[in-house]
Amino acid sequence: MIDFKHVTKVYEPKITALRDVSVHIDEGEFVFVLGHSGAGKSTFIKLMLREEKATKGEVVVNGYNLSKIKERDIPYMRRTLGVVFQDFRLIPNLTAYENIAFAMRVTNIDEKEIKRRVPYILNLVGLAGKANKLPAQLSGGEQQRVALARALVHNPDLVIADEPTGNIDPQLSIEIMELLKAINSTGTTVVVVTHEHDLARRYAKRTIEMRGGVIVRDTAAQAREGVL
Amino acid sequence: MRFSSFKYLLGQGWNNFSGKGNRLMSMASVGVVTSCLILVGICASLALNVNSFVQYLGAQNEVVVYMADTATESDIAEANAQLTADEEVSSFTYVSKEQALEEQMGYMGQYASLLSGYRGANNPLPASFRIHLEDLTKLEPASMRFSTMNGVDYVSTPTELASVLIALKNTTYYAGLAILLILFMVSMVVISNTIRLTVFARRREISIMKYVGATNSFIQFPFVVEGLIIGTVSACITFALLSGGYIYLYNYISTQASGFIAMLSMCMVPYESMWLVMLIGFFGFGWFIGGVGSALSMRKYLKV
Repeated sequence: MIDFKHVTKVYEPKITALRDVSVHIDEGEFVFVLGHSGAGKSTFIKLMLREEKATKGEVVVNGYNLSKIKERDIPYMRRTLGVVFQDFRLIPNLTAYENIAFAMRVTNIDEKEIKRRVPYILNLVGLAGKANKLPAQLSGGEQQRVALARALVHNPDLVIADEPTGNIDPQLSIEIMELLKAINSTGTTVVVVTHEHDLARRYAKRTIEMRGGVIVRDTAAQAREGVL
Repeated sequence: MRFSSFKYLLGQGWNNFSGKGNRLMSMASVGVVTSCLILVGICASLALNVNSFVQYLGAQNEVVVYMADTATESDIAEANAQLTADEEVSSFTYVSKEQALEEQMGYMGQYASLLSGYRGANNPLPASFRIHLEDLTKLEPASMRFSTMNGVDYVSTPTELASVLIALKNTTYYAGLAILLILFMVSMVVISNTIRLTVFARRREISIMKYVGATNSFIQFPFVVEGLIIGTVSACITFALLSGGYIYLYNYISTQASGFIAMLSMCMVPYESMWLVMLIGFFGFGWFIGGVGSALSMRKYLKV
C-alpha cells in the first residue's frame, strides 16, 4: 500500500520536483506512473524508496511512515519491496544465480534458504537453465528477468519497476510486462514507472500521469468521478 | 548475525584486501602504515628508554637533610618517623655524626689519621638523612617540607640536575606525543584513501545492497575487515622488524664495557619488559586506524 498525502519535494536551490501530490495505491493494484522526463517520476520513486525525504507532506509505504521512519529501520522497510531498474543494475562478475543470492546474503539470510529459494525464483522468471550465465552472456530481456527475480527474493508486498522495458526490444518488453502481470496476480502490488504512453494504453490498468511535478490524470479517480 | 553471513562478510573483506586489482593498493597501504608504525615504535622505545635513563640518574642523586648540632635524639626520631610516613620518599638512610666522620676518613684513605682529632665532641660534621625520592619533579616541595622538620639545619637539593632531567623527560614525552599524533593522522588518511578506492570500485554493489535492504553495518563490515587486515599485517611486520632491531641493539650495548654506552646498558629497558607493550601498541594502533579509517571512508556511500 502506498499513500502520498500533500507531498512536496524541493531540491535546493529551489527546484520543486513534486508539488502537493496526493495519491493512494491499494494493496494488489497494478499501476502505471506515466510522464515525460522532468515530470517528477524519479522523485516519486525516490520518495517511495526513502532515498529522499519529502519536504512537506507524508509518504506511507507498506505501513512505514517514511516521513518519520528512523534511519536504522529503512533497510527493513526496503525488504518489503522489490525494485527493478531500466539499466538492470546487475553485478557483472556474478552469475544470474549469484546476483539473486547476493540480495539474500546481504540481508542476512541463511545459505540453506538461499539454495532453496534462488532456483525457485529463477524458474518463476523462466531462467532455470541460465543460472550459471554472467549478465554479459544474457540478452537484455533475460538480464531484466534476473533483476526482476532479484526484486522478488524477499517475497515483497510491492514491486516498483522503473522503466523496466526501456532497454529491451518490444517483443521482450511484452514478456517482462506479462511477468509483472503474473506477479500482480499473486496479490503483489506493482507500480510501473514509464514514459511510454503506448505501454500504459495497451494494458488498460490504472494510470497516474505526472507533468511538472503534479498529477494531471489518475484513471482511478476519473473512474470514481464517472469521467471514464 | 548468522555464522554463514559472518563467514561471507569475512570472505568479502579478505577479497577486498587480496583480490585481483586491489592487491597493489593494499600492499602500498601496508607499506605506508608499516613505515608509520615503525616510526611510532622507535619514538615510543626512545621515550621509554629516556624515561628509564632519567629514573636511573634520578636514583643516583639524593636530597641530604643536615641536622643541626643542637638537634635532640627526639628530633631525629621524629624526623625518622616523618620520612618513613612520607609517600614521596622511596628510601632514606640516617648518617650520624660519627658515621659521617668515618665515611670522610674512608675517602681520605692513607691520610685518614689526619681527621682522628675530630672524634667525639670535636666532630664538626653534621648528622644527616640521605633521601631518595619517588619523583624528581616533586623535589622542591619535598625539600621545603623536609626543611620544616624540627632540628634541621639545612637541606641540600640537586635542583639543577633535577631540572635538566625533568626537561629531558618532558621534551621526550611531548615530542614523542606530537610525532605519534602526526603519524596517527597520516596512517588514518592512507588507510581511508585505500578503502575509499575499494568502496568507489564497488559503489554499484553498495547501491544494490542498499536497495535490497542491507543494513549499514552489514555493508560496512567487509571494508572494516579490510582495514583491520591492513592494520594486522602492518603490525606483524613492524613487530618482527622492531623486535629484531631492539634485541640486536640491546645485546650490542650490553657488551660495551666502558664509557657512556656502558652506562646506558645499566638503564636500557630489556626486551623482556618491552615486547608486550610493543605487541599491544602496534596491534592496537594498527587495528584502531584500520577500523576507524575504513568506517570513516564509508560514510558518504551509505547515504542512499
